Amino acid sequence: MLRLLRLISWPQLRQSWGRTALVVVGIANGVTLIVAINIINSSVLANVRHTIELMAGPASLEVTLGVGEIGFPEHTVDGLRGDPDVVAAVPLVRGTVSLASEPSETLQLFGADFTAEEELRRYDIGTTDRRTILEGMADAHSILVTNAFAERHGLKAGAILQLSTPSGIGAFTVRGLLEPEGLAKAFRGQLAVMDLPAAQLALGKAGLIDQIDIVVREGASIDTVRERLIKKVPPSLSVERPEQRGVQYERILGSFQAMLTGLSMLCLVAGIFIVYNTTSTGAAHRAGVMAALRVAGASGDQLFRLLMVEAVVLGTVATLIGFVQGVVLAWLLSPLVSESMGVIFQLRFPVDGLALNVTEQLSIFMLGVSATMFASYFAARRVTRMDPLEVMRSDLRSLATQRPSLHLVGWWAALVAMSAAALVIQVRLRSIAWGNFGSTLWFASSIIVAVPLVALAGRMLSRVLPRVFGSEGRVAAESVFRSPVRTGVTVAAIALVLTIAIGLASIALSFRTSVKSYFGSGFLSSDLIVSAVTTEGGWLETPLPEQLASEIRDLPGVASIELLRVLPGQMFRGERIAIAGLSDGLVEPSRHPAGWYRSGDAVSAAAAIRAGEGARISTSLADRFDLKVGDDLELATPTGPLHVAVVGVVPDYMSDRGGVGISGRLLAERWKDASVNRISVFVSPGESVEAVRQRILDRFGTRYRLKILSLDQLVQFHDQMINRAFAFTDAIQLLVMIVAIAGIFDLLLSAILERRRELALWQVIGADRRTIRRSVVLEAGTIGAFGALLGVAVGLVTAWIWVDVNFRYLLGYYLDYDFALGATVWYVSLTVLMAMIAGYLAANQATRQSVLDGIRQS
Amino acid sequence: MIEFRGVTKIFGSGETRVAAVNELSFAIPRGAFWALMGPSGSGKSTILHLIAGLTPPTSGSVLVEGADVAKMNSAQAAALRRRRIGYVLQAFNLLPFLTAEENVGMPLVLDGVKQSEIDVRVAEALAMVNMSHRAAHHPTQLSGGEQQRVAIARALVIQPAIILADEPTGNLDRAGGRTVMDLIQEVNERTGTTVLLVTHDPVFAAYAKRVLRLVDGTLQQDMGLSDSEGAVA
Repeated sequence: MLRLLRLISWPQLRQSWGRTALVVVGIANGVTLIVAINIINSSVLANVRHTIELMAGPASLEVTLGVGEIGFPEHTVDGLRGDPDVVAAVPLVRGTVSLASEPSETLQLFGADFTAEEELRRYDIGTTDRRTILEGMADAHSILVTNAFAERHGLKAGAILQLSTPSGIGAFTVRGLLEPEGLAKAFRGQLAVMDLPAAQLALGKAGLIDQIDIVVREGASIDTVRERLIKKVPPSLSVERPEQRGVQYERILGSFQAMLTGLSMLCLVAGIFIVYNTTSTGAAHRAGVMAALRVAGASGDQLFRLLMVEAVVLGTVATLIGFVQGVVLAWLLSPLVSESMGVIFQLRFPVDGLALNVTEQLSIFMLGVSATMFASYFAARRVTRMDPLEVMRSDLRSLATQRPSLHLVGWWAALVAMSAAALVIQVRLRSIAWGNFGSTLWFASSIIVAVPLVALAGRMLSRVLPRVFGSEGRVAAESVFRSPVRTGVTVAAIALVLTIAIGLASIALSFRTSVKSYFGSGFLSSDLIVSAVTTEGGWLETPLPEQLASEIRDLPGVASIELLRVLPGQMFRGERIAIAGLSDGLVEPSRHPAGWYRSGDAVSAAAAIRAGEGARISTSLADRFDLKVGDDLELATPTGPLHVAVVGVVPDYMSDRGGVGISGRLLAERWKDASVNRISVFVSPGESVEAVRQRILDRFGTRYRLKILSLDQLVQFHDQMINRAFAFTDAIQLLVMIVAIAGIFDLLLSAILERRRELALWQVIGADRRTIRRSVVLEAGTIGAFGALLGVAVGLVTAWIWVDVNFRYLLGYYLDYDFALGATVWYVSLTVLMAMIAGYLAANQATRQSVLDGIRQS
Repeated sequence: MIEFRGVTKIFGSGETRVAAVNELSFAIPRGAFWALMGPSGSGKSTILHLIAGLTPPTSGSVLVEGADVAKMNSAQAAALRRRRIGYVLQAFNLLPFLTAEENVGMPLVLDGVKQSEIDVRVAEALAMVNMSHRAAHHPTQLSGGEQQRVAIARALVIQPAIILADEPTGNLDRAGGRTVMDLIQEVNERTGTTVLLVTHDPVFAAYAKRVLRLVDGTLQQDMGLSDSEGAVA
């Protein structure tokens, strides 16, 4: 077989290097995206786990509320320290602060009990004597920063650092520098450490901690200690091994990562299709060689095996190239994906290094090779089953011409039915895998239906084109519809690119419109919105003290204010949701557009929420947990379980997995939280909004780093966030586009170049080159327009499937479907133009040769 | 050696139905050199295709060395061509990306023969057709006559029992044609290989010891020139 590969395959692959390259590039790019997404997914999780490990240090157990994003009373630690097997119980509080002069330069601030920390030794302070420094840390304005951060900002021990914190701008003295060891290696060195009480004060978390790290006595059973500690802490708190938190994050990120995998699978489908096209068009060219070999004694099976081995070799090469490209792409895309995850989950996911899961990469390798074999199988089977005598008698073009058969329509119907069934199963089982499977099947079905559709439309266009474009139209129509299979394949390739582009554009637009209507025209609209400049990682700003809100309310020109507090890390029945604390005005029924309450009555809901007895929940939460108005909702709070009744179901975009809106007073009381994220300011009638903005800045600008936005600016801010969240999809689109456009060029060019003899004959009977060029451009334009039409139709449905069905289970958000018409018009124009350019180039090349040379070609 | 028993081959159906071979019976003995003549569409090439197992008969039996080709599956038919039948075509059918020696060795490669043995047998085959000096050339670098000699070497390299030559001189001038026919005759006489030649040209048909003339798939004339063996029904 190797000799046949060397003697038969290699020369042919080398001779038609363009096609060979397209096969390799098609699969390589499909594999690239899968490898990249897999590496990014693995890296994000590995980095989350690593950060958790660094934070835990030698601790064997951790006490947290949920996954450790919501604070609980500090005194919890006292009950744990008395356990005979607990060597140390070390409390920790954390939050986000930024440089006052540079709000985008954020630091994760950790507040630690330094006396207890000695047992953990999570920090290595390299500057001077550790104990002396730690003694100095008792000062409420002392701080430790990492060496890396200090170097970047030219800081030394003793330097003064102006930081914007949730309790305002403050000056902090750098007492020492942290060596890049232990916890200081986390968050890319964007980390600072303070004494616990000082950090609690700065972060507005007085009396609260986020986690307790437990060091268990050597030799003691960790499970036994855990069982004992569970009884000593309130039931809302969990006691787990640190690695368990990694597993929880893996689950939280799972659906987002599944969405990325789904997108990368689309790219592989595109790659498979390109290879299928390329090997199919190449099959006619190889038929002659195969026929000669059959006459020389090769059996069809022997040649089929040869072509499949060839596919394995090409697939292996392509997959290896895809792997290398994937690593590079992962490196390039990981900041974008990390940012996107930050926007969606309101968490920071810095990727410090790429992590490779060898088993999964091997599976991808097998997938890449199998995909090449699958895509090559059909052409290989066809070319090796051709009657060699028929091949020797015919010209190549007639071999490529096949009549479409009705069984394609049957296949299409079967795939659509399977796709619909998979989507129904997705909804029933809330299964992401079924959703990905269903949408991929739908995508694949659109490829199959292209051929019968072309055959059907051919009859009509064969009459229309001659009427509109005369003889050139007649030639173009005859050529386009002479081989519906070939035309259909090209049309499907074009439709495929458009489907991906239109689908992604519509998802982004639907997201944008839904969020815009939520923040812009919903209950959160106001004249000005005041918040901190620094964000927690996504769109949500770091909290400000409630005291600031009271002071703003008292400013001249301010008619009223409303407050919003969002706690994004609340766990509810295993899902990470957000709790929103709403001031009374935010639940006022008149603030809600008609139909805002999908279920429940706005008036009675407002009364129940204000009384602290009810909660309104997001449509996504209601659907996910089958919750209805009147159901009891149990929420874990730092002060024990809270029971509230569901009083309404509303659209909500605070969190991907769902949100709960309760009274701000209830939140402050039960979560021991007296801060706000956003202050909605209503300006007195006749007062200038700009003047009030300036007044707020003048009054509080030196104490806080504030962002004061008008409603339009707020909408723009969220628009930017959505752009950030979807930035990585641009890279995916680009990748698919490159492969598909190369494929389309190959299909159009080879289809036209194979007709050089026919084009020469046209010239013999008197057609000039210009007429031929126009006819070919018309032909290519017709194919392009056909592909664009199919792409728009399929894209319309694909986008709907993603927005209205898949997205709910992948990301969790419930969006209103909005078709990206503007983007579609742009993509369609671009596609038709590209097709016509390809046609023009091919016609130019075909008519450049002498007429006699053209006639001599078989 | 080769026997046709009531063989019919029909192409198409309904109005387009054509009997390329019609109830044909004959037997060609081992070592014979026969020629098939007749106008275009008379079924000459179809007879070769039936013998080579490239197409099955509609009815009747085609026996090659006692085995019924019609009952062979495609792999068995391919093995027959690879090991027992050397096929020479008008269009040479050389693979353009292979050198002359690689083209000649291809049937052996397909048969999994060791490369060292292939090298020896290819050298012998090329020497037999006086093309050793052109072994490393590609078909595009050879004249028509040279290409056909390489094609004959490819047929000879398997040491075939039968050579089927379908218009081997059709693309050559008279001199070139003679050279090729001399070669085929020499192979027949020296190695005892059975040769069945299809030709339009009576000059080249005269190389054969027996000529069958076909019209519309039926035998019109059987001319024994110098060979009395064989039988035609």
